[in-house]
Amino acid sequence: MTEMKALTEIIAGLDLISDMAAFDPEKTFRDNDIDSLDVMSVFLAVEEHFGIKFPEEEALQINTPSQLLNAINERG
Amino acid sequence: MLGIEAIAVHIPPGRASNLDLRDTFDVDEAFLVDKIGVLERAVKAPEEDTSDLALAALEKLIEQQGLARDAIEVLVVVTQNPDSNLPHVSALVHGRAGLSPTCAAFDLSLGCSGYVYGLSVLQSFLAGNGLSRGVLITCDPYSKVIDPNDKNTVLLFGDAATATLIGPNPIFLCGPFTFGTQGDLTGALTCRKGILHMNGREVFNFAATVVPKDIVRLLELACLSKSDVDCFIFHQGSRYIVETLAKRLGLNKDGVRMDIMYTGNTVSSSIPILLKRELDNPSVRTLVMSGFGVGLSWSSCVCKRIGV
Repeated sequence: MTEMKALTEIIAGLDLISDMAAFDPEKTFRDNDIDSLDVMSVFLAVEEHFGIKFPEEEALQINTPSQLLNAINERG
Repeated sequence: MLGIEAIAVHIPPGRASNLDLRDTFDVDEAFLVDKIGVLERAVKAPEEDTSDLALAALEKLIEQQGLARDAIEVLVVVTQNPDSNLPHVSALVHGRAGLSPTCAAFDLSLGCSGYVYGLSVLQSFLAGNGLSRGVLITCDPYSKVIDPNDKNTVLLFGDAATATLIGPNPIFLCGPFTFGTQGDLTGALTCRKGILHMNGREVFNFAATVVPKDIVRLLELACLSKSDVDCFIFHQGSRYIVETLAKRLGLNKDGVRMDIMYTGNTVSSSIPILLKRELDNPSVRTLVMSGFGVGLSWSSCVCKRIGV
């Protein structure tokens, strides 16, 4: 079971967000100051870290870090 | 030794503003500048076709170099958007430019990897047949296939053509080369019924994972380290992808060329547009270029300045 702390560290490591203190996993990526291109970097980092792959249809339905965490955990 | 003697660039004067599309696609100027890296896209006139742009680049090269038309022994055009299926664009350009009847002319069907592939093909063709001078044209006007309502593509692509003279008095020698293909069975980048479709995440993942490995492979092949390379020219897919590649390779930003702000991603022309500037920049002695895109296909090579 992956914890939000691990996902937050992956996102922080990408250096996309100027103020990680304001990071809220329940908010959308965009409201977390992660634009549509940065979202691709987040997904790639997650896929590389966990050795998983999100199909495009599924990725399009994931709009928040919290939803992304659920999708990671659904893959065991 | 054969290599790059000169490059001519033709960018059509027409421009389409991305700023005008901010509301339509819910993007702001910072996103256009800092992420996509494109404020304006070069767009050909509606009555112009691929061979018109290609011919303009060739004529510019001929004029710029004082090149005799019968000195051109091979003409190669890299395009996937020809005027029509038949004949090939190189034949049209050959006829309109009045090149020699003994000049070989053929097209290469490649996209953003096409310039680097084309350099290798043309150099090899010349060397293998005892010829000394050929021209490589890139011309892939995506405005012919862009859906103006598709945010994934309309903000990115611009039209341009380039002509590169390969001959026996080069400024840059090119090689070694690396090549690769990851057959695109999922439709990451396709043109169906005359409309371009791009899965941005698939293309991004491909470039971000494959190209850095290919550069490492190329440098090993050339017995070079990153610090031996004065400048890197990546295909200008977007500002974001170029910066991602620089980041993943741990490159100094100063050594990574980037400029599509007022042209857009010009497909196979993006590398030679930037390379032309380096021909007259003696501080760049060794450069690496890498093209990647539709196919999915990629190719990289080292270029070394002669006489240093």
